[in-house]
Amino acid sequence: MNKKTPQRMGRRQFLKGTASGLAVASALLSNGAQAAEKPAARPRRARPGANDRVVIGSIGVGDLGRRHHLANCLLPNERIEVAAVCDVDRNHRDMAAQMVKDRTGKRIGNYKDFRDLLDRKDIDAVVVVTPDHWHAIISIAAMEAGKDVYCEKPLTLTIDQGKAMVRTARRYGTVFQTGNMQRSDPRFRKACELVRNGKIGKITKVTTHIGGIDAGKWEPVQTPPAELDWNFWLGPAPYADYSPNRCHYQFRWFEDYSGGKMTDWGAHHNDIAQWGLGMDGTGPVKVHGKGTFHENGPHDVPGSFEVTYTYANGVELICHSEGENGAKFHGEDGWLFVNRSRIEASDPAILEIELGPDDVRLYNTGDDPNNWVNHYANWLDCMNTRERCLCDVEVGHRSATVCHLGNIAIKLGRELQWDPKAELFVNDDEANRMVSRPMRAPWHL
Amino acid sequence: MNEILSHISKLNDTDRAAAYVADRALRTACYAVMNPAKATERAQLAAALAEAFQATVTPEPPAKEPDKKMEPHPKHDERTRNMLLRFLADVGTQAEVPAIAGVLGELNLREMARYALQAIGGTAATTALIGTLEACGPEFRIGVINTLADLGGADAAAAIRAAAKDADTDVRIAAIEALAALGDPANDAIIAKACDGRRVKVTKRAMKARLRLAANLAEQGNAAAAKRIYEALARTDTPQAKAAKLALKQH
Repeated sequence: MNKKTPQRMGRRQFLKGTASGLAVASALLSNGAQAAEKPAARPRRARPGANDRVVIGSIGVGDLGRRHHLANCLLPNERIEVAAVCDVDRNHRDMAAQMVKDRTGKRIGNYKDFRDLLDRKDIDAVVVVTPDHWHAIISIAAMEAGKDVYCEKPLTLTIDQGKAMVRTARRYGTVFQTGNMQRSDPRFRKACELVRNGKIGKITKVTTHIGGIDAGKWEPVQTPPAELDWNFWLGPAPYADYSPNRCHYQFRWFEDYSGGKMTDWGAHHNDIAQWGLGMDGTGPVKVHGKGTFHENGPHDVPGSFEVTYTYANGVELICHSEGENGAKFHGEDGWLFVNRSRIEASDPAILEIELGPDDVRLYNTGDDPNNWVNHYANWLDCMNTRERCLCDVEVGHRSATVCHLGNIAIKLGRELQWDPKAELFVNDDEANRMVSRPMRAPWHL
Repeated sequence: MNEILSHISKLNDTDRAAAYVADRALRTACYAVMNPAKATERAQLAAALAEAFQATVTPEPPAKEPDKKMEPHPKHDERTRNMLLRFLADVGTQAEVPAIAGVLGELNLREMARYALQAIGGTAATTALIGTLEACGPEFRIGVINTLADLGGADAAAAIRAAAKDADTDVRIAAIEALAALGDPANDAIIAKACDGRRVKVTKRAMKARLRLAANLAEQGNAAAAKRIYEALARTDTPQAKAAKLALKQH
């Protein structure tokens, strides 16, 4: 079914028509960076002088943005100066601004509207830690304002959003780090290097275990608290009445704002699967899955699920809500399991293997046991060198795509053929309706 | 279909869990027919949803005025009808476009109607959206322009070009950004003019739009048109100058 009228292309048709052209253009417009899947030396870690510190605006300073990013990553980092914070919740931004004042003695910019923060020419880069439905709009606006970007995972709400983010980053030469910081964890890197170098034999299957969610509780519709601009919080999402369990943190379990555990934790472990399999820049070619939804709500994303992806080389990725959190690679000669607390192999000797000079080495951002230290350092290093980060925008987009494909397959309940080059379902207009969503005016990409 | 109608009647149940169950059942029904092999079932479901969306009831006249002519009103409340529009965005076909387009003038339904028309697409949807541009306020005009940019086509392009002269600044900006998305080199004159304006808010967004247009043209293979725009942007003191120079290096 061709829904388009002739003669002029619309946004969607343009994206379809230029998928391969974009790949070429991306390569041409690349800032000389190495792809994440290639063996790579760590970029030079320049130590900036006082005047060379990267001036950062922190957009989205709720629990994760303030207590983790601001407190642990930004303020302790001598290479960073935090110049502004932004949040649609006044309490969040006031607490964040106070935290900066307490730590540095400086009074900084305090914004409700990210566009005002982006207007500041003294800000070099932004950290985006908003709910998922805002990631693409804010990141693209930041890139178009000439800022480098660190954006939390899952990178997107829809597949088309990721495509737009990649296009923008390539056009502007943006140094973009996605918050898939497990790749900056030496344990996960070691696991993926062992897998890549055939130390458990030819890979046949990867299983990821990412947890499910409970049904949640119904809360009465309420007047939003005075400190929260609820309409701005909703932004591009369809209008909905306010209740606390749709908002801070719990937005993850409502599909207007996020994709449930599939995108929340899938963005981590399915990302590791992509890395271990060497599938950055591409993705599976088939997907099918099943899931259960809570009978009485309110959460409207799958509560439990199992999704099977098949890559072009025949390897399967099976993503479960059940089982011990982590990623397990199954090879013809053994298996290897990794999560945030341990790495284990079918034979402990596998873990003692030292890589040889000809073995593939993955992008190494550092050996600090706190992976976020390495991840941020990599972003800052790349701002100096203008090379691509470990979790460049396309890495984040492709890993998020794996998760979105899973949610779409669960909904449609049938096997779907995916073309990772065109980034569309094959001969399937019905499924392709789910790769994008309209946005509430005035927002658009 | 009786089951479908039963679920529809509960979409705005005061028991929110019951409403959720109905919503979940209808979503599931939609997903089940979103299948190239189930076009007939999908058409039947879409027709049933549209019929419910348009259904009216005529109240009984008051006892004291048994002859009073009563006007029919929609059978379902706005919340239910909005949810029906969401389902139609998933399964609606060209056949449902008139029903959906019929509420583009209704304040509390038009946004979800726009979403559905954007998902369905086609000439009739485009024509209906264009037809609403003059009658609606600026905020919805912006949404319609965004949708027209997504749908494309000569008629949409002409409407967007007209909107670039809108009295409302935000509408003009939306139109300029939409023109960039259409990827027609003829639109550069309009965007370039906006770049030279006096209002910073407009010029900033126009610069971004112009860069987008150039990039779109380059990706379409129109290197010459793209180069002209990149060269113009490279001479500015904007973030787009850096991006333009980056692109020119590749030429």
